Amino acid sequence: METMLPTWPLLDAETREAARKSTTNYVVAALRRAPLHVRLGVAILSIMLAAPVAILCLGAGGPGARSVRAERFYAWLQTLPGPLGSAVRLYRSMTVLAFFEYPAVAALLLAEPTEQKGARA
Amino acid sequence: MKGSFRPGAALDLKADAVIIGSGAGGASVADVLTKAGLSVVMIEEGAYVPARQASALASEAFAAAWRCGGLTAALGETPIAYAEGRCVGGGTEINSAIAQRTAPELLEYWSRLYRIDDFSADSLAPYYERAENAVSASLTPGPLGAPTDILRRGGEAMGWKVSDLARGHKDCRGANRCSFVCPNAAKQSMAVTLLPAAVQRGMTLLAHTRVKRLVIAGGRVRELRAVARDSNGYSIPVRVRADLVFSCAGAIHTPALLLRSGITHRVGQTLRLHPTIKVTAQFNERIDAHASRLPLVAITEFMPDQRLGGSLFTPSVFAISLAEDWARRGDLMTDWRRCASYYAMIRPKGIGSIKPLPFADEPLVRFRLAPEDWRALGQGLTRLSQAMFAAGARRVIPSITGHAGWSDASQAREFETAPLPKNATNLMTIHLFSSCPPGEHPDACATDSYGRVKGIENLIVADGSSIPEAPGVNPQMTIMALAFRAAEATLAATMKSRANAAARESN
Repeated sequence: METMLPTWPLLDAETREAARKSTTNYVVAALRRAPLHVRLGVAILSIMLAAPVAILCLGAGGPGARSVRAERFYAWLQTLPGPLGSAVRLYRSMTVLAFFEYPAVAALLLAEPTEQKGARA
Repeated sequence: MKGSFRPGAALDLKADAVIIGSGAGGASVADVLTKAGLSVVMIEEGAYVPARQASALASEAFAAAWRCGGLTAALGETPIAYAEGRCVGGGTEINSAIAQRTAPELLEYWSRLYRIDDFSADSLAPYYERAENAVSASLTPGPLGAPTDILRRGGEAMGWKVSDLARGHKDCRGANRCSFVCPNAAKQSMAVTLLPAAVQRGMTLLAHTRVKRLVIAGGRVRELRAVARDSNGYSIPVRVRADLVFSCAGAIHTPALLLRSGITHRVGQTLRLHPTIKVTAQFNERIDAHASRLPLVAITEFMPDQRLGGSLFTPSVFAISLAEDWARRGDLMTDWRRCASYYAMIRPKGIGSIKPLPFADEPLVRFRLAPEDWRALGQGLTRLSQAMFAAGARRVIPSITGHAGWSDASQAREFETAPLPKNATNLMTIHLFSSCPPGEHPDACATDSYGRVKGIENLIVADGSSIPEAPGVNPQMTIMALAFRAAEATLAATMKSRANAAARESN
């Protein structure tokens, strides 16, 4: 999930970790509500995707470099026809929905630009 | 309306009528039947979400009131994401409450094609009026906000007809949460209008209760078997025996239930929907679309075949639309205040199907777009983008994965003649219908002209399934009008047969 979490708005480490946990919980709960055939498809595709994503995250560089590599991989997957791209999009949709509704993130989004600058500083 | 309507123990009920589903169709049937003094049980799979409990967060609202939290799609060459309500009030709790009638020429065409009795605009007018009155359909007064102004400006600059949209509302405060259950009960959804009145007249409403199947013998539904969930999540059996059974579970779940119950003739093979393609329009000035109502005008120049309109916008919902190509579009989130979402919706030639799956609550839904649908989507997208540039957009990004977007109107003619990329185009819909078409045509129709399922004397379909084909407008008024009509016709037939039986006995 970490690899799909948006990098903007900037959050301190503690807040970002809390947002990540909350987002993960939401995505897991949302998938439970999905139709059975969607759940099964996503489960199979997730297993297929887990290894390449893990390898990308093990590579050199900090979290930023890993994130860029993962992002390129997801972007490539989304160009493929068939269900792989749809599965990535599904994960991404749920991740960004939950992330941007996390209270600290939503507060930053809705703050006026001058306030936002102050909050980031 | 007070109460959770959640059963707490096993139930074995008898009633004059049972209604499956509490949306626009079910609530309209309930209105007719309870006014006539019938004892009615209504069964709803979802929960009751009162206005005071409505969440401002899309993530929570989707979980509370949307089927499968919104993760539903019609599969096919290109999947089409669709949304359905699953709560007391059904789709009327999560739609924009736009009140439009189906065009008279379409009604007349369907009447001829499907041989539907008494189906002209004039015949349906009293039912449409009843529906419009029930939800207080009216224009929204006062300034409607930048997203509406943009669409009006763009359409008018192109010289196209732009229409104000009447909605079912009273004292709308512009919370911009139509899709999340209105927090002010200003949207005149079924949970605010017809359902409380029916409950007041004695209707028993069972929420959290899913109908498993109808038991059919001798050409009649003998009983309905359902399972409720108590507050601890335990299953509770529910059985209802009724003289009349109305299936109002929507265009996906009515055919799914009928098929599970062994009724197959022309059921679930003719699903229609409104394929819709969206664009993100980016402007130089702040739009702050999240602080306005969703656009309350539409470009109606090309109706009924195409309609151009605007979508709900919140930062998180906008993020979902960017998720289709986050690597290239995620940066737009930093400029979300200058963005707005619009759509082009078409009446398709393509057809879909519904197939129940063993051990699964949700059926498999498939939809295949026809070649002319792709052309119409490309044309609608081009027109919408032209209107956006005419309104001052500096960039328009179509909902096509991998597409960089356009920065002027001439670029935006890309798909005027060229085909849309089928593997990269992202489509959605919130309008589903036609899966049990009505009429007297023996080869084309699942029900008679008034919704009675062929071969089953006491089973009536009264929901979006009964709209013969895609209407090209928001379907709520048509669903309600047809449900009023089906309920009245059934009631009249029942009274007549009772009178005949009484006459026979007295002789």
